Amino acid sequence: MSSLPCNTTNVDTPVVNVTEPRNVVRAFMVLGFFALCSLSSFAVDHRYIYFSAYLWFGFIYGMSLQYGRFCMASAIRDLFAVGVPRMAVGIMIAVVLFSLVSAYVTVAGKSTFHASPIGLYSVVGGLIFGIGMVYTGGCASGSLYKTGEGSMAALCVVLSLSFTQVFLVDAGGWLNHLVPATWAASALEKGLPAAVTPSDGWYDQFLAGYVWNLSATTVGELLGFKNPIAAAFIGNSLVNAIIPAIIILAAIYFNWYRKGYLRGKEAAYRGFRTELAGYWSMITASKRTAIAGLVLGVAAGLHMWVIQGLQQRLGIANAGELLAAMGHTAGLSIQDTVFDPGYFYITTQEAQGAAWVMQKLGYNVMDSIFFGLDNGVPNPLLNPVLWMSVSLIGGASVMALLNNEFQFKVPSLEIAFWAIFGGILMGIGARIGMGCNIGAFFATVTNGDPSGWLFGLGMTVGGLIGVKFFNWWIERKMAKEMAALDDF
Amino acid sequence: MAQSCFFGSIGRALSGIRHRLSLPVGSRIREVDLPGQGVVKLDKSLNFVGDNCLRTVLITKLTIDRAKPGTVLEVVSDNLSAVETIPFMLPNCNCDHLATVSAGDCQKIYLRKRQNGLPPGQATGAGSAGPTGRESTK
Repeated sequence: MSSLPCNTTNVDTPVVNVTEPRNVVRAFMVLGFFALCSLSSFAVDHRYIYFSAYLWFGFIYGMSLQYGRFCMASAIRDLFAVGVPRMAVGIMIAVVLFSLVSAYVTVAGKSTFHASPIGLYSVVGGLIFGIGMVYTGGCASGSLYKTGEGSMAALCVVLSLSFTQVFLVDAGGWLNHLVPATWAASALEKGLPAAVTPSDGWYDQFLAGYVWNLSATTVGELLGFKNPIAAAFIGNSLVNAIIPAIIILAAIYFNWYRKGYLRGKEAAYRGFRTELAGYWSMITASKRTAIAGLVLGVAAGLHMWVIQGLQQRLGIANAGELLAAMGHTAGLSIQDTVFDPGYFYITTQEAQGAAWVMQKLGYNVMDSIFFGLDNGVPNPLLNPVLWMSVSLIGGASVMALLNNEFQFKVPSLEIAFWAIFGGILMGIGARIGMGCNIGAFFATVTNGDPSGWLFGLGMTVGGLIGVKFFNWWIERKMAKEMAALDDF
Repeated sequence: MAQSCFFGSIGRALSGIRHRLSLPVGSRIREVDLPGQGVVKLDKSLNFVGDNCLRTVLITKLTIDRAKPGTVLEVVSDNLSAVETIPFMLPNCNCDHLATVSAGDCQKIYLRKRQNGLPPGQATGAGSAGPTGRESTK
């Protein structure tokens, strides 16, 4: 593989190429299950096509993520721990592609995206999330696709981050003492319904008293573009996504790739031409990751288009209206809404699933702003966005089965400990940062929202801290064990 | 009792590195027949089956850093992400990737630390070419 810097064989080539017949059967069974869900629900009520749209995009995401081993934890870990840039490069490719498709979708009036408030909370949330994902070994989307590969450790992460979110958004008691007086006063001023008890709960007051006071905008609006095409393509896509991605790729090239590339290169150094060839070599070093980034970017953009189109066709602005019209009013928020972002998202729907379980166990979460006022807690079978998460796992399973990579793995005590501990940090980070590596970073930076870069900054620094701590831990605490290797 | 069980579990969890680096002496005299490389004598084998990717790549890197030039390592892992990352990190670690061999539920990565300053492919230790990729153990 000539594009690799040194004497590295093509690691993209699967070691086993022929799919085992039983795995093909299993893959078709998984695919058949989702097809059956989609068709039978459509037969019951044609409006379930809205759910199916989420389902099949989730399936595509799962296949792409598994194919490219696409994981932001891997990107940060590989870069800082061992100097391998391939995953970070893949993510930047996906960012560029998604931003271009998003710009087109925005111009066409089919975007479902809403910018997040810009504030320090994104950095703090990203920092906590980043530390957590390094310990679990997978980001929010990575943990989902790894669950589809049969990793029960990844399932521990998913469950841990889901339930942590529920406890965090509903936690009151002594946590109320940590709420600044200004937040508490501001939350009360909002005149929120008494049912969500805005004066009780750290997270409620964090939302209503702090986050809601911040302004949200896109770079296109910030730069004052009047022309929607210029705002979408120049402001949102070029300035907020493509240029930063190119700069980040250049930084990665000079810091982590260039030295190895030039060392392994036999031809003479020809200045900028050689550097450009090295830059391109870095981008194409892992074709799997690059292809996955490309598919993800395009699919994520099309997802918004399809959901917005369906909303217009069905005459709704939120899936809650659809559920109410179909007679499923249980679990809707006070505003008769449910969580329905209209694009690729991961953590909130998982929190809803966990909240539904907690509700069944007698734990009331509907007195929080997050669930009671905004997102609701619908039955998981009637939660369209949760359909996306489940089918993401299914899509990853299919791809893993077709590549003979599906393996049911029960974690050791050690791995389970880190998975749960890291998952707790990820859950806390996701709620404070108002999303995860997808909802608060990938989907935001690509739609012109600068708050995504703040979350990305925090996530990167958090990942760096996690890697450094782990490195330190192994080197210091395990010095005796490592010393045994010195006699080579 | 419950306390010692709880803290014992955490202790074992945090010191889990031990089992990977404490290998029987017998593992040092193994030889493997690698595709395109022939019979190669292994100096060390690291078993990361069941481990997450961070630990796998980090401990592999630390081991490589401490290894002498010419050392041949076998890294056994069932973590797909780590299996694909390790060959990419080898050039920066002054190592050559010899092969990645499938072994049932896991993959085995073979690598050799380069002799000081020698370019790729000129490190010593490779035997005659063997086409099979099968593994033999002495």
